[in-house]
Amino acid sequence: MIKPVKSLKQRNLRDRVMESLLVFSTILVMAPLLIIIGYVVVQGASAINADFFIHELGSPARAMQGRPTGLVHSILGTAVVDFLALIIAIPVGLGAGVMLSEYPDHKLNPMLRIINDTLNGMPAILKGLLAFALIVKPMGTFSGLAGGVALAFVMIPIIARSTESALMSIPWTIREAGLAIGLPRWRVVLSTVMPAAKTGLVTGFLIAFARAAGEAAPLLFTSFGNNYLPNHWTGMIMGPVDTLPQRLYSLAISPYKEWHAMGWAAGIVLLAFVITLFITARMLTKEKKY
Amino acid sequence: MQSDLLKRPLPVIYRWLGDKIFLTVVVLLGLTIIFLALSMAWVLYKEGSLAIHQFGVIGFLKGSVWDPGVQYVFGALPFIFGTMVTSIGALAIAFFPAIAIAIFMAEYAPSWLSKIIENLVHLIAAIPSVVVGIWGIFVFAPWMRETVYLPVVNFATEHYPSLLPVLGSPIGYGMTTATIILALMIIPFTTALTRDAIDKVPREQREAAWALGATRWEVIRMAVIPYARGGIMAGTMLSFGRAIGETMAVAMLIGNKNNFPFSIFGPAATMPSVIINEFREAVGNMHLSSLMAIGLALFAISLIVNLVAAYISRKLSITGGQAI
Amino acid sequence: MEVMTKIQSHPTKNNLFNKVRKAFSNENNPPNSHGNNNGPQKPMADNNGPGRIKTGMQSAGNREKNMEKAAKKEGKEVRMETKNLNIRYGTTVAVDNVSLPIYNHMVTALIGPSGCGKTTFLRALNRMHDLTRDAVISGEVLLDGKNIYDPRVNPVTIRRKIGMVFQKPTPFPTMSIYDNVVAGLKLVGIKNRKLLDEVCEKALKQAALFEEVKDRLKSPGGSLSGGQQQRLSIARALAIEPEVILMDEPTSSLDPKSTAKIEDLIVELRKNYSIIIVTHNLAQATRVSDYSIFMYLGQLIEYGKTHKLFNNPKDTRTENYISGKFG
Repeated sequence: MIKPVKSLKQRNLRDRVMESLLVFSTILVMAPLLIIIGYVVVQGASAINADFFIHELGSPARAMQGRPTGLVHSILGTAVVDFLALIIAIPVGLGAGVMLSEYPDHKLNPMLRIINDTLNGMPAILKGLLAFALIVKPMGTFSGLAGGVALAFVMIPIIARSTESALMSIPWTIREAGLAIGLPRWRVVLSTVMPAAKTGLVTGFLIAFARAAGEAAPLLFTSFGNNYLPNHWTGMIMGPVDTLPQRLYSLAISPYKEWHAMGWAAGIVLLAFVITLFITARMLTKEKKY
Repeated sequence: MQSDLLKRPLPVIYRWLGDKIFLTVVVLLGLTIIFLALSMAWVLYKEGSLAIHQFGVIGFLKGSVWDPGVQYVFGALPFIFGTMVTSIGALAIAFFPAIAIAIFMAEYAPSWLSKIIENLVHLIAAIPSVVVGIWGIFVFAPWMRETVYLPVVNFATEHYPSLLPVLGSPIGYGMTTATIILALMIIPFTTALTRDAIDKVPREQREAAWALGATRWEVIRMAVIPYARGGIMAGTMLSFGRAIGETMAVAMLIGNKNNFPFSIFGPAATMPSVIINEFREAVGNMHLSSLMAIGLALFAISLIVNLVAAYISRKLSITGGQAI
Repeated sequence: MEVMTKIQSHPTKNNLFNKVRKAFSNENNPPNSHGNNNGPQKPMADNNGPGRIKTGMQSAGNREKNMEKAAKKEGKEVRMETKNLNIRYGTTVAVDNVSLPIYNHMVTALIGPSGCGKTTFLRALNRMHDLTRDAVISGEVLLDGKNIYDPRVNPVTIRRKIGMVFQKPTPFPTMSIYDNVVAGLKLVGIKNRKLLDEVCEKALKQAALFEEVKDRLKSPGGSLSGGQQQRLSIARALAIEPEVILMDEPTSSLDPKSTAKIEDLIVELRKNYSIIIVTHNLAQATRVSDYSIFMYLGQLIEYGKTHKLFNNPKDTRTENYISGKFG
């Protein structure tokens, strides 16, 4: 028997030391991140009230004079812009995902996969610049539509990837069974594979939605922002419109104390919205797995 | 009746036309993504061409003066420098803790704790950048000023006055604050990617190390980390890409100073932060075009980082241990 | 003394489980004894002879005594021993009250249809179940008379005495061939280059791999062929000089040529080590092993000298299995 140089005691000690280091860094990192959530919840809860949901922001004077102000226009604007983004992003992302998973031999697939991943890794602000050049410049005005397009650019690569993996998780035998009874490929995909992968697809949409809903950078120069509700609902799409993340940024960097408080309130609403989306998505995946 | 139905030829959409249409639609949608990526490069180039022609590619990248007011001269160097310093700094801070959390989750923690941490990590990764930003503005930056910057600057004033320009003004909003916030923001991302890489290590590899009489830490050193290193490095690269593109929280905390010299505590700017701050107010064509050109530079850097990540994960992913 | 290893704690369930087990073993009436007419006090019938054991018909205690008696006659010493070993996953019993001795310098083959618990049993012998969080083990496993499940025993030391070779070859892909072989030594801090070189060469020679790789010890372990990788795994296990080697279907993923090499190797290694091998391949069991254990549905059905078990099985289930009627 070869004599060990390090005793078992030493090695176990090392194991213990490393474990404590790991625990220590886990706590060290999780603590500030939880503190952030805690601050937003506490500050936001004290700043939020019923006015927040029924009034529009108006000028800074309005808040300083103590007249009721709120962010109803931002909440509605966020809903419109996010919804537009989803309508644009889902068909494109879904189609690309189907192409990647159902036509695995297609010549374009390797390139599409790399480009999609790269697009996913691109800073969201560049997607805003793209939407600015493609929509805002020709239209001559900032608009909710441009904001929706910018957010769609954020969602598309995520949906494409999640659709691909959701469809891939359906075994090939299901497709073969469909083809064997004489169904054409498109029917197999649309009425067997996609319904079977429904949960995975929806989870992907939710995750993409949550990611995009928190983005402010692409919205600042597409939907721009607006202190008031547009006079007509079409103004939400065709004209500059407010969104929560972008409004939160404007409030936070403004010089008014009253607006800072409203910023915290916007923070808790935005956080609650995004986290609800994420938790729903994760619960859906769990349901699927077990 | 039934035999009639069977005899009737299938509608053309069930024979060949349907598949053809379906494939065409799907491929067109796929091409949209490729088109998007290409048009992003094209648009940024076209919109930025005015500045690029005026100053030249090298001249623009090397130019250290950004003056939209008087001289009307634009150079991207301060922002490239700011982006690189904050991102590399953030990665340096985030790397070990992020991997530590992933290892703790995967190898040490009991499964209930591991599940809690995993959910928390995903939850934290979902916090919007602006929400972190507002906390940074009102809580973190003032706290850093009071507990770190001011004491250090006061100490330096007394003992090493020559250091003061390097430290910069301790207003709280500056490079160090932005770097730390950036590190906090990419940790969950790095952790999740590292966890994915660790999960891909086959059980057999771990068991082989156990069977040699390794302790838990030795199993991690011997079997887990070497096997997962490709995934870990690719994940780190992707996190670096995230840090480079991270916009809102940095713009809210870095203090937005557009010209050299930058200092450790003092304000600075990054490529995304300058675009966010000036794009809405930019009036001159050259100013707008210069901002677009900065966008193009950001695009190029992100592209390289993403491609390198893809290359690493392909090159370093291990197939040898599972030859059969 | 009965030691419980609780990896996942179900205190009430465990106790109940244990009580039931105890009741069975106290009455010397394990569930696998059908129509047991031999009382526990009744001495073993002489006509049972060495190695001829009617396990299916006997209580655990008698079986043990008998095996020991037989072993003494042949001059074999007991290296390992299991006593009332039970392993379950949740409510599924994977190994059911198995008691048996393992002899020194012998190759013992574990055979049985898939799912019969033979791999689970093997992994219990060097505490590999500590790693999966859902296995519950009770009973004793003795190595040289000491219970390895004693809470004071560190599993790390046990695994250095009882090496293991897995179904799939598991070289560490980022390490060179050389580093793979000496990995176990580097763990205990041995850095003496000369010593490492010696051990590496010796282990590779024992594993009949040295000639094939001596010129490329620095190339990665993953660059070898499947059979070579498996011999590398064996060399790695030998380098730490264990006393017992467990092999879990070591040839199941290999081609016939590599299989033959590894079988020769096993026969050769038996001079220095005690080997326990799980195999699906009955022909392999007859080729390499001295003793064979037939397990079925988690129970030990028959244990004896390989040629006797195969030529003259005592239990109809053994007979059916080795004649290919199931499995």
